[in-house]
Amino acid sequence: MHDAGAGVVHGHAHQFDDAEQQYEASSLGMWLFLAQEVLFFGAVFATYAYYSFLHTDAFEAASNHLSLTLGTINTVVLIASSLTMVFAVHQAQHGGKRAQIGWLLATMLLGTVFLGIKAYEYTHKFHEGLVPGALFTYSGPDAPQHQLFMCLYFVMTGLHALHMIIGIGILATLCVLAQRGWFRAGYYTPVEMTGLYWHFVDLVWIFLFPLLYLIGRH
Amino acid sequence: MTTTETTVSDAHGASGVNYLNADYGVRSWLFTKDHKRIGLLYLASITIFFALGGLAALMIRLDLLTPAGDLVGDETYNKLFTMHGVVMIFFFLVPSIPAVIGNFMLPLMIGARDLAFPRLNLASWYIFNLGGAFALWSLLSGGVDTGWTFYTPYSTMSSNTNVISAAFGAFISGFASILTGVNFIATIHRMRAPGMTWGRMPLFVWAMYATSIIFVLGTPVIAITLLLMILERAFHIGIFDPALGGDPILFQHLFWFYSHPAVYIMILPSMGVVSEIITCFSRNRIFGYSFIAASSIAIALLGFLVWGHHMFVSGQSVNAGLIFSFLSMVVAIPSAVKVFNWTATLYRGSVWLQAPMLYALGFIGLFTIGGLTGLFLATLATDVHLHDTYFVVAHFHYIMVGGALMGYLGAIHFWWPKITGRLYPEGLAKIAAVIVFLGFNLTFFPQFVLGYLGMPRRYHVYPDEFQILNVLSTAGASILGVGYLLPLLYLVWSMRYGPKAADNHWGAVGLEWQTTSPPPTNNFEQTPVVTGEPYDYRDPVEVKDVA
Amino acid sequence: MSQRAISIRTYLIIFAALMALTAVTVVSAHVDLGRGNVVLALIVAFTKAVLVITYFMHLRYGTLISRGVLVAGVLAVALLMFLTIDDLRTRDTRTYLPFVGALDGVRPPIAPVPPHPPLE
Repeated sequence: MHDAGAGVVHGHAHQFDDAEQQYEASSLGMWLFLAQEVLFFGAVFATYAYYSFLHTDAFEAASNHLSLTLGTINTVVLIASSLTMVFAVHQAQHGGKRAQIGWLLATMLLGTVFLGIKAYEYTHKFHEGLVPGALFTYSGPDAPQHQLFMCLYFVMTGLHALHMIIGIGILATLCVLAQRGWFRAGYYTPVEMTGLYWHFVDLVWIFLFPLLYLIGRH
Repeated sequence: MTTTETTVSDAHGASGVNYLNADYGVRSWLFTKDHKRIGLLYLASITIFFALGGLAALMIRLDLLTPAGDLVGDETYNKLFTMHGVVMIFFFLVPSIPAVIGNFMLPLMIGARDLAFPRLNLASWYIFNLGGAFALWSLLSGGVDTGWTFYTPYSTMSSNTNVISAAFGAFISGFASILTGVNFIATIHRMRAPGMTWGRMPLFVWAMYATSIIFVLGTPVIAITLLLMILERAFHIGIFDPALGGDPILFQHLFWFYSHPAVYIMILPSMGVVSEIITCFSRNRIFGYSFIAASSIAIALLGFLVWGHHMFVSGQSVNAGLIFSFLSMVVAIPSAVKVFNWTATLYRGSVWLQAPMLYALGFIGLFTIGGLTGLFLATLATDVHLHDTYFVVAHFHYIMVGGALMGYLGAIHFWWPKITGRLYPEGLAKIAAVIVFLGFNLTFFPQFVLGYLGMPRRYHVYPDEFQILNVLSTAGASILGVGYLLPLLYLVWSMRYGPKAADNHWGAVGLEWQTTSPPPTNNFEQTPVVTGEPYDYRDPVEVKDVA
Repeated sequence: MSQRAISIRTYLIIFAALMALTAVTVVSAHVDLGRGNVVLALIVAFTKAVLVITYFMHLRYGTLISRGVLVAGVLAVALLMFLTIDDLRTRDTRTYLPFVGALDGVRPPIAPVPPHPPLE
């Protein structure tokens, strides 16, 4: 089916009748997986909403522990990475190898920048004694609720970061496949599906950012 | 029906090659992408887990023979009922029909060559076993004693047992469910044979679709819940810790948001099986096809609205209790619709009491009892009296064992000729089905009485006056055990020594019966085209190979 | 595949809109609108999400079932959030709350239980 040496021969997997059916099935499969992810992150968001209802003032105060600047930069970076991803999908369908790899690498680069900033934020929190558990040293008012907020911060952004790391790994694989000339108008499904995943990860951050970083700024 | 001739069909594929003999060797099984082989791989795994869970049940019932709790210590007893619950729910009931029968039959029933994503299917089996390995590790290194519900703060702060590995095992196995659900929904939407409209799909397929909705939407929530609990226990970060302003009741909300729909994961597939068996063995069209199909979807959706009925006495608000109690009454309606329609299907049918039919009829009766007793629990006032008593234990065992497990056994027997190309011994199978039915009722009916009289669940020390009922229950359990052992023995025996089966041993209607027994790897010589209505039993169908 | 192409120009317009909305949400966070801050932030977030889903994820030209699947997921989360918070909102402060002082300022305290009359 995929002959890497002499260029690509595209059929479809044996269980499908044609490439169209394979594409439709893959697309539905990916949307189902994303629905599952909505519930996965949704459960943590529900936890956050529950506690935010219970400890509104304390959570707003705790939000100020986070760096608004870094959070905003990360938001811009991630949305930009969605743009580059969209271009990568476009090139997979219409363009050549170099353009495909270029935009995939750009997405990976922006994703890595995001993770780098996150890593910096995490280390900063560690030095400030805001990592929950035995190392938590904040002792201002409502300290227990601040610790609860920080628990949720680390869990939510940590799960998000994990998904990004996986996404970057998948993008790297796509680069290798693109180099072998796999993607063209008749077959660009893996890139499109990865795009859906990547945009979803962006969507999670679009909600994380205001709820974690912006609630206490007024 | 009493003929003793056996005419073996000669249509075992042009060359006699089927999915079982197409390829040999361990590697051909462990790296297979064939949905039928994967179904059998799952069958092997869950049978082992069932034996483990059953062993725990045996120990529990032995200990309960005497009121003093003198067979095993208190901590050990806690570990036994925890392991029984964790293994039976996560590693037997949840995968049972979907991963074995669903994987095997779904593509056949819709005329497809395989599921949409065969490699994901194989991956799900490995992920399932990885989860099982963690659960097994928990068991072997001392067990876990929190109850299968892992309630905080005991699980996060007080328990000294292997909570994390058990919870992690359940967490991982959830991903296997999710992959199965994604696979099934994509397959049903995109890979039906020409002419198979939604209104011509077998009701078992509708049941798989409804179950998959719950797999996809419910399982991620338990995944997060267990993860949060594990993080709290491992790193002492207090998501549910009241000292930090956390709320243990939130854990219960999150836990039951999945675990209630999970019980519908466990029962919907059996209901689909019963629809298939009842029509075939009463030679009648199903009564109210669209109502049964719609009720499966309704149960899946409504099942997400009722989780708080597990929490009436937990500290949840009375207001929330009222909402959940009302919605729990509503969710009983589609189940009742099914029972009425199955019964109506029997009316004026030509009832043929073979082993699968015995299991299906048993299901209808026992599920009805289990379902009705659920209404006692859904009513706020009576639940205050019955919560955490043996009444609850009896209720859910009537549904899960009297219902789901009997549906599973019925499915195994019904499709055994198709899966293996062999016949099991029908006389012995009938006897085993009756033993199961009698043993089951003797085990669990006394538990309704015990619970009503006030015996709490998860206790192994009880007042002397409860002993007689406990002894009856244990006696029933030993009979039930025999009833389960028999099929294990004769089914394995039949794989080698059973007479060869015809392609359509039961004379049933359905695409899976239009291909050979066992089917070829690609399921059909040619893609079938569907023109008729489902369950078209109007015209008498000739039956060959009746034992 | 059967897929209408979205033009590069459209993508860039959507990107610009997303950037603008990000600016709106960051700036408005500094203005004191009381409870309105969270509401506005969520409205902006939902708007951005709709743009990403419709154009970047191509759901504008997607199948009915794909859209249905996404909506089902969102509704399930909304259900979870709504009923759990509703439980919290209606808790009886006399019987159980996670800690002393919970729900202060959220709802008025319930009158204390009168003492039990002496038994005959």
